[in-house]
Amino acid sequence: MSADSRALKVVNEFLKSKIKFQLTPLETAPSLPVPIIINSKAYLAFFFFIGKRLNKNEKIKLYRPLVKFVIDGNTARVVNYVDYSVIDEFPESDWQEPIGEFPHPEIAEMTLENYKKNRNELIEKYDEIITDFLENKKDEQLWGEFSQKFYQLCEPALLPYMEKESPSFFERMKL
Amino acid sequence: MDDFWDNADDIDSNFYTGEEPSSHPIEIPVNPFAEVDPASSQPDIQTGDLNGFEKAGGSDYYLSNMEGPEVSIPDLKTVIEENSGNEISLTSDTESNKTGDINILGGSTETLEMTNHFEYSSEESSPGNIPESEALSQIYGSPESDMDYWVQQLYPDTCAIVSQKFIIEDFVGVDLTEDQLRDMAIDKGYYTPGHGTFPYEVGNIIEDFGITVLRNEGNTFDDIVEKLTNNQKIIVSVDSNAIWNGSDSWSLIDLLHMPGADHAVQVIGYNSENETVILNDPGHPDGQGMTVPLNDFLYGWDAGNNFMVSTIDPAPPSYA
Repeated sequence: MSADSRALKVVNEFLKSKIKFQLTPLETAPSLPVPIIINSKAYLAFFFFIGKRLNKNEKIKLYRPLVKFVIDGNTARVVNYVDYSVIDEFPESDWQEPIGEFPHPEIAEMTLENYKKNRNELIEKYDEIITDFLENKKDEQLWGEFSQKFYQLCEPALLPYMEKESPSFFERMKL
Repeated sequence: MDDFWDNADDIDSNFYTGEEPSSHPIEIPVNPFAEVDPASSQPDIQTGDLNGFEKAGGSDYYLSNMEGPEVSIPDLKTVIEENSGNEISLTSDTESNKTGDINILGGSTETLEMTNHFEYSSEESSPGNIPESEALSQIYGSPESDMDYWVQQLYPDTCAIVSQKFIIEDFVGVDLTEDQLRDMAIDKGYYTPGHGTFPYEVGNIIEDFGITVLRNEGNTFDDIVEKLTNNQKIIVSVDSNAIWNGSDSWSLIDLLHMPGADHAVQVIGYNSENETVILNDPGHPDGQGMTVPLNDFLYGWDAGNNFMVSTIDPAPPSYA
C-alpha cells in the first residue's frame, strides 16, 4: 500500500482518534470508508458493526451497524455521529439477527495474500476517485476498476447502509 | 479541490497499512522473586499427583504451570483416569517438543503425543503470589488461578461484560452467570443488547460490586506488568485479529475489513522468558489462559488506544 495515500492518512488519524474510541462500542469493527460529496467538499462515512464467531468451525457472523461516523476528508474531524440505538435510521433492521457472514462468496476462495493485495489496491484508488468525484468528472477506467474491487471486497450485507448514506457515489459506481 | 488533502501530510499511517506500530519500550519491574536462590528452591518438575491435573478441568487436560504456551494433551485424560490414585510423573522430549513420557509409579511408562513442550510442577500456586516455579520463568500475575474464572461469552457483543465477570468473581468469591450480569447491565443502561459496551462504560458493573476501577488510554506495557505484579486485575481493548492470528499471520476468515479494536479481554499474566502475554479471552473457544506473543498483543492493543480498565486494589488473596 502506498504510504503516500492521503486518504489513508486521514482514515488512520480518525481510527486512532480519542473521539472515535470513546463513541464506538468496544465490540465493533469499521467498514470500508464511503466517500460523500457535500457542497463541493469531500467526507468519508464509516459504519461500525459487530462481526463475531462463537464457534470454531463457523464463519464470522455480521450484525447491522451500531454507529455511524462522517469525517471531514481533509482534516479527519468528525462532522456527524449517529448512535443508531438512539436515532435509528434503519428501523427495519433487527439488532440481534445476523445480516451476513464473512467471508462472503466473492472472497471466500481468495488467498490471504490476494485479499490484502486487493484491499490495498482499492484503498490506494480512493485519492483518485475522490478527486474525480469532487470535480464531477468520470474516468470510466478508473471507476470501473474501483467499482470492481469495491464490490468484490465490501461485505454485501453492509451495502444497503452504505448506499443510503451516499447514493450519488454508488450511482457513479453502477454506471 | 487543492486543499482537500492539505492537512493530512504528517499523519502517521502505520495503523492502517498493517506496518508494525511504534514500539513500546518495555522496562520490566524488578521481579520480587529475583533473589530466590534457584539451587535451593528449584521445584521438582518431574513429579506430580493427579489432583494437579484434575484441577485444570475441562474435556481436555491442560497443564497451566508450564513453560511455553498452554497445551492440550487429550491422551493424558485417559491415562489419568485409568491410573486414578497413583502418583505419576511427566518428562518431555525437549528436542522435538512433540512427545512426552508419563510414568506411572510402580507401573508402566507411556509415551504421549504433545503439541508443545511442557514441564509439570507438583507445587500449588498461592493466591496472589507467584509460585516459585513460575517465578523462575518470570511469570507475572496469577494466571493459573485467574484461569479458573474463564467462560466463553454467549452473545456476540458481551465480551466486556464477561471480562468484568471474571474480575467480579475473583474479588467477591461468588459464582455469577453471564445472563445475571447482562440483565443488570441492561437495567442500569450500561449495555443494550446488540450494541455492546462503550469503552468508558467498561468497569461500571465491577464498580457496582464495590470494586473501584481506573479507566485510561495511552498505557504502556510496563503499566500492565506493574499491575500484574500487584495482583490488580486488568481488562484491555484489542484488535481480535491480532491476538487470535498474529499481526502478520492472519487467516482470511479472521480478517474483517479494516483494522481496529473490536474486543475486550482480561490480561492475567506475562511470561517474560518467552515474551508471551496470558489472557482470559471470553470471545475465543480456546480463550482460557490464551497465550499471545508480546508483539502481537502490543499490535492489537495499540489498535485499542492502549486502553485499560484496572482495579485500584489487588484481588483479595482468599479469592484469587
